[in-house]
Parts: sequence; structure tokens; C-alpha cells
Amino acid sequence: MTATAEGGERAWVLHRYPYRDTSLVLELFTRESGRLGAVARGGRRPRSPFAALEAGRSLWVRWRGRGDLVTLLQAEEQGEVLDFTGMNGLILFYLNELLLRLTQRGDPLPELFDVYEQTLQSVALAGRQIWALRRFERRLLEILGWAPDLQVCHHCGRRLRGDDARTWYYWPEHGVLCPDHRPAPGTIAMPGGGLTWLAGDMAEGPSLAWLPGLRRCLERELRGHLSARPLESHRLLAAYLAQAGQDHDQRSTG
Amino acid sequence: MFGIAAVDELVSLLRRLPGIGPRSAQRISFELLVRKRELMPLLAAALLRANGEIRHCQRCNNLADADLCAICRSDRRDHGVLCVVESPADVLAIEATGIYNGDYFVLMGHLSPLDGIGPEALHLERFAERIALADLREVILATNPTVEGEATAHFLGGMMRREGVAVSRIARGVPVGGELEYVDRGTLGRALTGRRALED
Repeated sequence: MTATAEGGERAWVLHRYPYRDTSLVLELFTRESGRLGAVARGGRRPRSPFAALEAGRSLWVRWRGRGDLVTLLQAEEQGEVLDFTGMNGLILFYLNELLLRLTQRGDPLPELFDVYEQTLQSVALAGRQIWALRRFERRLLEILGWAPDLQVCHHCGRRLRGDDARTWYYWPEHGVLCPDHRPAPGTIAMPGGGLTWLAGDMAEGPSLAWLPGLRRCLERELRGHLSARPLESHRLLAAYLAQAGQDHDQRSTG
Repeated sequence: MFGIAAVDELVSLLRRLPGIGPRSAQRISFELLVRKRELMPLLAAALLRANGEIRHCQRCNNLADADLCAICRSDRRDHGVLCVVESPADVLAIEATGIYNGDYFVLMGHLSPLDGIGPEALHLERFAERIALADLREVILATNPTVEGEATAHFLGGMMRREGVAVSRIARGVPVGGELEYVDRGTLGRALTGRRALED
């Protein structure tokens, strides 16, 4: 890990928890240094400049140290204030838990940082564009080694046309199956256009009809990396949606 | 480590309390043993008594010395209004304002999935029973204005969607006597979002 960032760098707060008598540990996601645990000395005192720092805050930080925990020297808020009240807060928990569970401290991931930032803005500023979560999930999975060929049938080699409205199948750990092949156990049905979107640059939102398949596909892949312990934030989101009588994709606007 | 089992155990137990680190625990232990020895049996008796007598109010979940706490038993309170808070300390803070005369529900925490605290850890079944009681008109969600507190309020709001009661969230904004220049951006942003019409 870099021994210091006294010149400063950009960061998002992922989580915070108490440390010793009056301090905080902030789990930061920085652009240049990756994920960091930073001790904010005196951060639990009411007048501390670190007292208001919590998940969903964009910062410019200076820190010093090496090893598992560095010392936060300075933190200033920057950028537009994003609203993480209500449903947006539950989504923020989900994104942050994914980063905390699936990335390592001290591993620089500047491109994922940019996608994370775009995702937060899409969720909080742009009318809750839930499809941005799928873009973040795909990028995170790519970093974890996910690289299936989503454009060619695993059985017969048929190439998927971008506008194919027929149902293709995503086959976890193998790739995709065209409509002419019986789906294998565990395959996930998805219109061809959805697979093309998943394989593309994801700059624009997908068709609403593709969202359930996209979510199931990415969720299946993420589950493989999360071992037996499911995401707590996902359980909370599911509990909320169940009591509200909605499913994930009814929330997927934009 | 002091090297005497009884002292080390005392220090170790005190350290498990919130806000008490190793040095504070050691200081409190020596203060008790050297200068405040007379406090020790009183403290021990008070701890035992509190442990034996204090329970959760069956209606509001606050700490109580009977099945119902004094607020829930009182016939001077407006039992049609319910204020939901995170901790007993929040009840004291709101009572100190002198402007609220309704009931409370004390969650004893907040939802925090990244700390492994989900709905089942907050015993929300007791909250569901409370909001199902007849004559409830309004619920004020007064969880802390943190990400976790907001998520908790949103979750509880979802539970009450079918109950037909008015649900409100405490206002957020600049502190009384504060200057805008020194208010953090998040607070100021929320103060602008939650602005209200000028009153006569």
C-alpha cells in the first residue's frame, strides 16, 4: 500500500464504526489507493470535523500511514450533495457492502471508482436509474475475473444478432445458449437484446423487459463470489420490498 | 495488566462499556479501589437491582420497572401520537424539550446491514403490535439523521403504509443559532430541500 497521500485524493465513505474511546474508523474507497481503513482521531466528538462523515459522502482526503489502518489527516466534502434518504439509502448499503466484501484494502481500482461514482449519481440524481446497478455489478464481476462470451451460443457457435428478440439463455460458468438448444439446468432466460446490452458499453439504459433476466444473471454470478454468507443489505432490501408488496424490478425505473 | 486477577477482571469488564478505553477503565478501577471504596458495594447492589428489576416496556420497548413504563401508563399523555426513537437517551432528549406529549417507541438501535443488524435484530414485531393498536393517529419517525437512521425510518414507513395513520419524519436543518457558512454541506443541502413556507 502507498505509505501516504498527504497531497490528497478523492474518496467516498463506504462505512464507519467506532474506534477506541472517541475515534472512528472510516472505510474509504479512494480513487488512487483503492479501499482504505482510515482512523479519524476524535471523530466521535460532536465538534470534530470528521463527525459528520458517513456513507455516501464524497471527500477529498489526506492521510498518512501504512498497513491495515492509516491515519486520516484531513477530509473535506466535495461535489454535489447526493440524497441517500429512503430507498436510495438501501441501495447505497448494497453497493457499499459489495465493495467491502469483494475488494481488498490497498488494491487501486480507479476505473471501478469512476463506475461507483456514476452509479451513485445515477441512483441519487437521475431519477433512480436502477439499471446503473447492473453496470456496476458487471464491472465488479469483470474485475473478479468474469469474462464469458455473451454473443456466441456455447453449443453451436451461432452468433447473437444485436436486435434478436427471441429468448436466449445465460448458462452460468459456460456462456449463452441460443433458442434452438434446450436450456440446461440453472440457465437464465433472457431476450437476445438483453445479452447484447450486457456485453456492450451500457452507456444507455436497457429495455425494462430485460431487467429481471439481467438481475438474475448478475446476482447468480455475484453469489458465487460471496460464498455461503449472503449480503445483509440484499436481505434488508428484499424484506422492505416484500412488506411493500413490490419486487426488485418494479423499482427499476429509468 | 496489573497482575492481580480481581483488578484485571474489573478493568477488563469496564473496558467493555461504550466510551471507556483501556486507560479510562484503569483510571476508574484505581479511583474506586483507592479513593471511592465506599462506592463499590453500592455500585454492586445497584447493578444487581437494576439487572433484576429493569425490563422492556411491553408497549414501547423502553426500559421500565414494570410491564408498562410510566409514559405508557400515564393518563396525561396523548396515546394517539407515537414518536419512534433509537435509544432511551433520545426519549430523555425529546422529553427535555417539553413540547411533546405523546407516546414513544424505542427501537434500541437502527438498521445497519453492514454491521449485520437487520429487521429481526430490532424486534420489530413489538413495533407492529404497537402500531396496530386502536386510536393511533400519527407516527413521528425520529431516528437519527444518519444513513442508517434514514434507512430505518424508511423501513418503518413501509410497515405503516397499510395502517392508515399519518406518518411524519422529524425535520432536518441548520442548528438554532448556527451560521450557514459553518454548516456542513449535507446538513445545508437537506435544510434547503426541506425548506418550508414563511409563517406569519
